[in-house]
Amino acid sequence: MTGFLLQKLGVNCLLLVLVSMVGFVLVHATPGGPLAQFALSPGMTSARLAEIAHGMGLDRPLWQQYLHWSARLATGDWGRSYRDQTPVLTMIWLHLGATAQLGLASLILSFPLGVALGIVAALRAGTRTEHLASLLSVVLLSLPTFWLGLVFIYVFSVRLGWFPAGNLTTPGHGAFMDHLRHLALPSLTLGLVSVPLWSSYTQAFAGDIWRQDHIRTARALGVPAWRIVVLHLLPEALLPLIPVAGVYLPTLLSGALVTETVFTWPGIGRLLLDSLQYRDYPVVMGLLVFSAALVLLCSLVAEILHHLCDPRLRG
Amino acid sequence: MSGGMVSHGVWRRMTAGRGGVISLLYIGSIVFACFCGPFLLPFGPTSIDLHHRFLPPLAHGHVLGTDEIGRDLLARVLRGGRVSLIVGVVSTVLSSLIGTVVGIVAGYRPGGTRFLITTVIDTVLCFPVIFLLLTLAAILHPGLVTIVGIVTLVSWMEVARVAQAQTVLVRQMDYVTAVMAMGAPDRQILFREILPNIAPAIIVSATLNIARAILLESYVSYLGYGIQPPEASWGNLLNNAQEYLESDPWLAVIPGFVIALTVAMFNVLGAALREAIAPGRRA
Repeated sequence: MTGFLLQKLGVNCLLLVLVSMVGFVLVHATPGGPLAQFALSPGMTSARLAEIAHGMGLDRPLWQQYLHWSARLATGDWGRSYRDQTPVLTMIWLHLGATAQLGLASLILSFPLGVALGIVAALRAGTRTEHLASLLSVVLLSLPTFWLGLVFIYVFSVRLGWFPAGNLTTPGHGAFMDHLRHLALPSLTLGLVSVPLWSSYTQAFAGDIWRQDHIRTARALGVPAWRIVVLHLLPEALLPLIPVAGVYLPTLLSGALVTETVFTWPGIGRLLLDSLQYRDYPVVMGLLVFSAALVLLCSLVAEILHHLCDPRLRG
Repeated sequence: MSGGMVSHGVWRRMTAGRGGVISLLYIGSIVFACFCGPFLLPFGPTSIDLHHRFLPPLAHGHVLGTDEIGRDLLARVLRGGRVSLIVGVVSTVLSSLIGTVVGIVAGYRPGGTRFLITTVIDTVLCFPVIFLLLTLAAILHPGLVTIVGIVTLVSWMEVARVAQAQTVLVRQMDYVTAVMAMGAPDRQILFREILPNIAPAIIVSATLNIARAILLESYVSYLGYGIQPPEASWGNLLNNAQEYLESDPWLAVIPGFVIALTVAMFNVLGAALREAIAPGRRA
């Protein structure tokens, strides 16, 4: 276990360094570089621009700049936004809550639905039921997130008037129920498009387990199917789903960006889009590194959890 | 068993099921419609007609109606489909080529090379794909070539993983070991033994990738960093549609439906191909 943990940690540290390099190089490879925003302001002279560049250390070789930037990154100083000088970490923190709510609410919807769909498809392999379940998965997999959001807004907000079409809360009306009503459509959208990820993995895992001898024995002995599913199949099929969280999180963040745009939900996806629009490079770099680090951390925790929960993995 | 017989069997099995036939028919029709349709329509995709703005479907000869400046929606959907299909197919061909080469190398050369390649793949996969795509699109000059390039850049890893896993499997087979023991050069092993064996898995993965690439293009264009108006693409048709959702919902509903249907059909085709290549098994 310790050896496994150390190896995982080592690989993750290496990946973290590489991830920060990618984020850094991407932004510094832009035409105009991090200075592009300043060059646009009225009355800017090339002398003043050079002064700013010197002040920001942009006249030094790229590798020195990277070392400087990553050293500050490690100590928690992620730089300041060009827009209003807010520290980047504070900005991310302020937007993270909204994304976390959206992610959690959509997970509560997509996980049980996906697992149920996957198990039904696995148990009824080769029947009409499986075909229907697969069809549903394909449809959900193929829906453009923004379109599903727009359709929901049209049906549930414009036509029926059941739910609001965007924002966190109604201004001057920040009650809990009001907040939940605002969360309904975005999380439904993001939840539905995340269902196929869970269902496809569950179907594969559950299918393998369903064909194993101990399940066949239980079925031969006449144990009711629901009992086998709940007592034997589900615990075994859920275990390998734990590391899938490492695949799920990047998908979720991508989906969240699109969903947040449609529903004007102030999460980190919207923050990235706004920062790109303003060429607010410290925030862009910060968000790229932050999201990748979050993905790494999440998959590391998931792997450890998987090892702790599954006795077969403890050597 | 010759290659011809194999592909004949695959074709027969694939067209035996409903999914394979329907998806092939649909994809054939949408490709024909997008590439030949615009020449048969009385309206151009960019011709503005301010006297006929926001027409509902089937009014004044506009089958799908018109948009906010009176352009024919059907003409724009077909024209946009051309862009979206080109992005989907070209970026998939490119990413499959890159992924296959990288994956075979990683699968065939254990040790340092494989570690290097898997580390690069893992690094790219850490980033949420849309985050990476948008940043690249915002940095580079938007246009068809750029979009094809960046969609390729974020989608070669899946194929590489498939190719690597398959290469490792094939490499362990007895006949490959035998060929290696007889002293066959790497080139011969790679092209005569490994490539033909992993090709089916790569074709399946590529078909599914077309679906994903079309979706990715639509996201980037919808968010305003992809194909720029007045040039149409399936994503940017929905750019302004949200503003008019209340009065003219079809402007959002129709293009989105076409995207969903086309993506679904490529997914169905991929599933049918997988089933036909390895019946009863799920990869």
